[in-house]
Amino acid sequence: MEGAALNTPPEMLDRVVRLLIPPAAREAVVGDLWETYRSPSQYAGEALRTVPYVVFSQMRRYFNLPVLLLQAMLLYACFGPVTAALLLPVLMVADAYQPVSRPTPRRAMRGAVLVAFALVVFLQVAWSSYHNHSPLTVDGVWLGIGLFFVGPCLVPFLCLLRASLIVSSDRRPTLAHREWTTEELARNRVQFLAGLRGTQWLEAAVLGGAALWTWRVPELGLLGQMLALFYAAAALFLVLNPPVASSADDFLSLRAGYQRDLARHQQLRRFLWWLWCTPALMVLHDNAVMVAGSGHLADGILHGIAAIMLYFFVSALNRESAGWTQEQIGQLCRMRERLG
Amino acid sequence: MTENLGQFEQIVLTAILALDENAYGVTIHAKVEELARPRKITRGAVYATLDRMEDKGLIASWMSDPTPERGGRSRRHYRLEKTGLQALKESARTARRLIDTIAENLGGLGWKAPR
Repeated sequence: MEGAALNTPPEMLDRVVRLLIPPAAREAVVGDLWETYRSPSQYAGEALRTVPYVVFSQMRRYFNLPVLLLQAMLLYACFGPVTAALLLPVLMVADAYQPVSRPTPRRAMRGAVLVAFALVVFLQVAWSSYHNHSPLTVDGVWLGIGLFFVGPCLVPFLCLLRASLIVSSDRRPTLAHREWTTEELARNRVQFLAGLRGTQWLEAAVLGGAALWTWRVPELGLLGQMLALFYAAAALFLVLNPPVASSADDFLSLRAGYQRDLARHQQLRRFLWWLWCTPALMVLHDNAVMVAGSGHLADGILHGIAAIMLYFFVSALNRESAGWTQEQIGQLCRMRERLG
Repeated sequence: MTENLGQFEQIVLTAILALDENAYGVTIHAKVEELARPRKITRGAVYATLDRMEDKGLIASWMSDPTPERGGRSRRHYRLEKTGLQALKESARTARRLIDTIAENLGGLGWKAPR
């Protein structure tokens, strides 16, 4: 065994392989590659043959058709068909590489600052393209300089928003135990599913209300009716598919069932967040374009900022929740059965 | 109702069954290659099938303690679930019927059912 441990792949090659393998499968797959290591070329060849399968497998695992359709609608409405077609595969691959833990607070804050910076760039580009003249004219210079301050002003607000999500995630109960008896695990799973059922009923009721409201607002027209149908279908799905614990004979089966419950819940949660925010994002984007096009630049900019903030909020919410779920699945994977 | 298994899934499930406590990526791949010979099987195909069957609830997995020969990484061990075992038994019964029928029809040509 000690001899095998000395015969290890070159550091650089190993780093590249680790980078290519999605985080969810990394530990087991890289460990297997290490265990069968003979030479750098054998290691590289084996990794190259393995990586595509592992990536596609993770893409399939995280694939969520309703979310992808909502994202496609959003991208199509905001950026047109070509960008939407190009970005969808990127989003699918990004899903495969999603991290197995929540981001560190430092990383999350860095993300908030990055969004503020992106906002500055977006505002400059949007302004110059809608008004079809360069920001280097006299008016343009002043407005351009003014828009540069929007991003820095938003940084504290974005950081606060992000910090509040981190704190709320920290408060969620976790499966931090290394050992549990089968009864303890079963009890915890039942509690988790009972909590989910309650939330699901509540959300179904809210979705039903939203469906009725959007159906009855004449200003929304065909879009409103389509949205109402979407909401009603989602509410019906939630009512007809309450989380139910599948039967499990022993600790291992129970743990596997719990992991599937967590993964299913995360997929559903992700869909519902996108379902809530996609119409709002589309409306904000349309308003931004229309208002700015009709000469009310400040209003258009405000709508644009609101759209980006909403997108940031939903992405951060998804990131926190997905990270929390992955952490719990990982904890379950390492949990040992305590007898007695 | 039992899950219908593809041929490769049957092979992977059989490998897990045969390996019992020692079923993880490397050993499952080696056993699958042995069962599927002369076909060469990539390890990635085995991982993808394991993931798919785990999502279907046919198998369960867990992580072992880290080991030094794996650079301090854990092994992902697999075990058949009740539904997986049922599906495998059903596939074996179908295979048995196929073998018997082929043997009946080709028996005169000197073909023998594999034992």
